Amino acid sequence: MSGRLRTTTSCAIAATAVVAACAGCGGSSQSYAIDSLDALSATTTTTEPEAAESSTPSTTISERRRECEEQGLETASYAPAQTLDVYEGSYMQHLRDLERIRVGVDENTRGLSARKAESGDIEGFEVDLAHEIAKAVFGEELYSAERVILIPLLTSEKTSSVADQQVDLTISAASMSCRRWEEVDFSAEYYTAHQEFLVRSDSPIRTAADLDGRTVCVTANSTSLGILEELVPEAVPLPVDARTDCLVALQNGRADTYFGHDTFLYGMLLQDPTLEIRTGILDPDDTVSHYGIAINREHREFTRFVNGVLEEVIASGRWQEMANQWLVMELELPPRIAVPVPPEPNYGREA
Amino acid sequence: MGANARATETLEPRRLAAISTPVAFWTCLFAVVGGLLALAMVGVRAANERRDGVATVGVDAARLLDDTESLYVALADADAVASSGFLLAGLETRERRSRYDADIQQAGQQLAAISANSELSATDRAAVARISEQLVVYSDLIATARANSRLGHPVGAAYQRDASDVMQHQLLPAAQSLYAGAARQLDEGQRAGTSRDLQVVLIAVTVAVVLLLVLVQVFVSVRTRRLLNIGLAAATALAIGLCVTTIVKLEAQREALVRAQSEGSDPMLVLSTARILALRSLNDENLDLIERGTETTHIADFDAVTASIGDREATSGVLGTASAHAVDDAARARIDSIVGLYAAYLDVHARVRELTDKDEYDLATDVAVGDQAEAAAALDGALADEIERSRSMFERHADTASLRVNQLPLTVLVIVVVAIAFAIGGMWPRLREYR
Repeated sequence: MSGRLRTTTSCAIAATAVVAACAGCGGSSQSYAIDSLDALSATTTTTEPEAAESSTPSTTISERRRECEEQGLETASYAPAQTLDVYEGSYMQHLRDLERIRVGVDENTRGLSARKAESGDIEGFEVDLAHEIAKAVFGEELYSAERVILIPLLTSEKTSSVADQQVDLTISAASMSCRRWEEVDFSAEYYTAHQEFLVRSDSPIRTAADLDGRTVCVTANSTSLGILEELVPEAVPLPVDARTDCLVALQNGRADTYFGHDTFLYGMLLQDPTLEIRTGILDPDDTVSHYGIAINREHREFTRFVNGVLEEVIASGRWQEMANQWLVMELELPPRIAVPVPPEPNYGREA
Repeated sequence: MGANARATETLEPRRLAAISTPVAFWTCLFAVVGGLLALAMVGVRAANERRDGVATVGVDAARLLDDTESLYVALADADAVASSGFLLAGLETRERRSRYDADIQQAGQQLAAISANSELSATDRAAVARISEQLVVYSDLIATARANSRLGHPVGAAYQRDASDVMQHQLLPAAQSLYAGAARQLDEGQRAGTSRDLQVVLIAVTVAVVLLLVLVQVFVSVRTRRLLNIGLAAATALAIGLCVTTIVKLEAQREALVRAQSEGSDPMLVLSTARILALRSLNDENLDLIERGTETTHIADFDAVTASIGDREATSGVLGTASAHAVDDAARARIDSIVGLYAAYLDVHARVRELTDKDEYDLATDVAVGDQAEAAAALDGALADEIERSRSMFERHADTASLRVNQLPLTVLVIVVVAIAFAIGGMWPRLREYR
C-alpha cells in the first residue's frame, strides 16, 4: 500500500514538473515578419496637397518695392541690349556652354501654352516666344528645338522657380507687379490681358454685387486673388494649383465662377461650350494684366538681351504672326480683343 | 508494511466510518466519471482551438492577406498605367487601356472577396467602404480625363491629376491599412494555432484525474480488501494514454504550423510588403517626372521607401529580413535573384536621376517609362512568384497541420467513453455487493 502511495506522490511530482516545464516553453511561435509592417508606416506618406499660398504681401516692404510703387514702375523694365551679341562672361554665353535653356511654362492654357494630347508636346504663343529667345541665344548654327527645355510650373512656382534658378526664365502669363519685382526681374511687356469671370451659362452672376458670398475660383498666389480680395472682399475665394483646376471646379459645382485672364477663359470656353464669359463686372482698368518674362535678378544683361529679342520679334512682325496663329485662330478671341496689338515697351527702370 | 500504510489504515475507517460504503462508492463513481468528462472537455477544446486556429483564422487570414495585397497591386498598377500614360501623352493605346480596365476589374473583385470575410475589424470595414466609394470617384475622374483628352482639351490633365490625388491620398492608404490589418490577423491566427496554453491545462487536468483514479483505487481496495480493481486501472491507463496521444498530435500539428509560418506566411508577408513598397516607389518616380523636379516630396518618398525595401546587398530593410530568414539554399538563391532585380531597378532609377539632374526630362521620361518600367515589372513579377510559392507552402503545411488534429476531438471522445465504461465496469460489481 505504502508503495502505491509513494508511486502516486512521485507521479504527481513528475506531472507537476512536466506541467511546469511545458508552461515555460508554452509560448506560441513568434513571427519575424510582422515587424516588416513597420516599413509601411515608417516611410513618409505621399505628399499632402500643398496649402494654397496666400497672396498677402510680406510685412517688410523693401526699398525696391517702395520705389516701384511710388514711381509706378510695375511694367518698367531695363533698356534693351543694343545688339544681340553673346559675349564672354554673360549669362547667354553660360547658356550656350550648357547647350540648353530651361523655360518655365504652363501646360494647361490653350493658346498660350498647352500640352497637346496627341503628341505630348507643349505648344502655344509663349512656347514660340521661348524658341525666339533661344534662337537669339544660341544663334542660327547652334539652335535646335531640343535645346529648349520646357518645365511646367504651377502658378505659385512662376517666380520662385526663377529665383531658385530651377529655370532660366518663366514665360507663363505672369502679371508684372511690384510684389513680384521683389523676387525677380521682368522683361518688357509681351502681352496685355484683362481679367474676367467665367460662369455656367445659367449663372445669375452679372454684377460685382452678385458675387456676394459666391465661391470664386482663382489660382493660388496669382494676381487675380489679390484683385479679388481687394475689389470684392465679400466673395469667397477658392484657390487652386492650376488654371484648369478652376474649370474642373466650375464643372463639378465647387465654384460659382472662375476669375482669370481672358487669355485663359477663352481657351476654357472651347473646352466646355456650356460656360460663358461675363465681361465688365469689374472696371477693366483694375483688372488689366501686363505679362512679363520673369528672369533672375542676378543676370541683368540677360533681361536686357531678352528685351532686345522682344523688340526684334515685334519689329519683324513675328509677334503679330504668333498672336494670329495662337490667339486669334486657336482661341477664337471675340472682336473686342480679336486684333491683338503688341504692347508698348516701358524701359523706365534705371539699372 | 510501513508506518505510513498503518497510519492510513487506522485513519481510513475513522474518517469514512460515518459514510456507508455504497454511498461512498457511488460518490467515487460520480467523481471518476465527472473527472473523465472534464478531461474530455479540455482535450476536445484544445484540439478544436488548434484546429480553428489553423483552419479558420490561419487559412482565412492568409487568403485575406493575399486579397488585400492583390487589391493594393491592382490599384497601384492602375494608377501607374494612368500616370505613365500622362507622361507619355499621346492617345491611349489598346494595351494600356485593357491593362487599366483589367486592374480596375481586379480591384473590384478583390474588394468583393475582402468584404465577404467575416473576420474584418471595424477599421477594416471602414477602409473597405472608403475604397468602394472612392474607386467610383477615381474611375469617374479617369473617364472624364480620358474623354477630355480625346477632344484635345487640356482640362483632361486636371481631371487626371485629381484622379491621381484620390489614388495617392485615399485609395492606396486605405488599401495599405487593410493589408496591415490582414497581416496582424494572420499573426494572431498563428499565435492561436501554436499556443500551448491548453496543452498545459490538459496535462494538469490529466494529473488531477489520474490522482483521483488512484485515490479511488486505494479506497476501493481498502474497503473491499481486493488488491486491484481492473476497471479503474484500465480507466487510469486510458486517461494517461489520452493525454499522451493528444499532446503528441498537438505537437505534430504545432510543428507543421510553425513550418507553415516560417516557410510560408512569414516570407509571404515580408515579400508582399516589399512588393507594395516597390510599387509605391515607382509611382513616386512617375509623379516626380510629371512635376519635372519642381516638387521634391516625391523623390524624398522614393528614397525613404527604397531605404525600407533595403540596400543593393540586402543587408538591411525588408529584403534584408527576407534574405536573413531564407529557409534553405534554394530559397536564398531565389531571394538573391530578387535582390539582383531590385539592384537593377535602383540602377535604372539612378540613370533617371542623372538625366533629371541635367534637366534632360524627355530622355529621363523615356528611360522611366521604358527601362525602369521594365525593371520594375521584372522585380514585381519575381516578387509575385515568390509570394505565390510561399503561399502554396503555407497552404501545404497548414493542411498537414489541420490533418494532424482533424480526428483528434473524436478520438478524445471515444477514449473517454471507453474509459468511463471501464470505470463503471470496475465499480459496478462492488456496488452490487451492497444491494
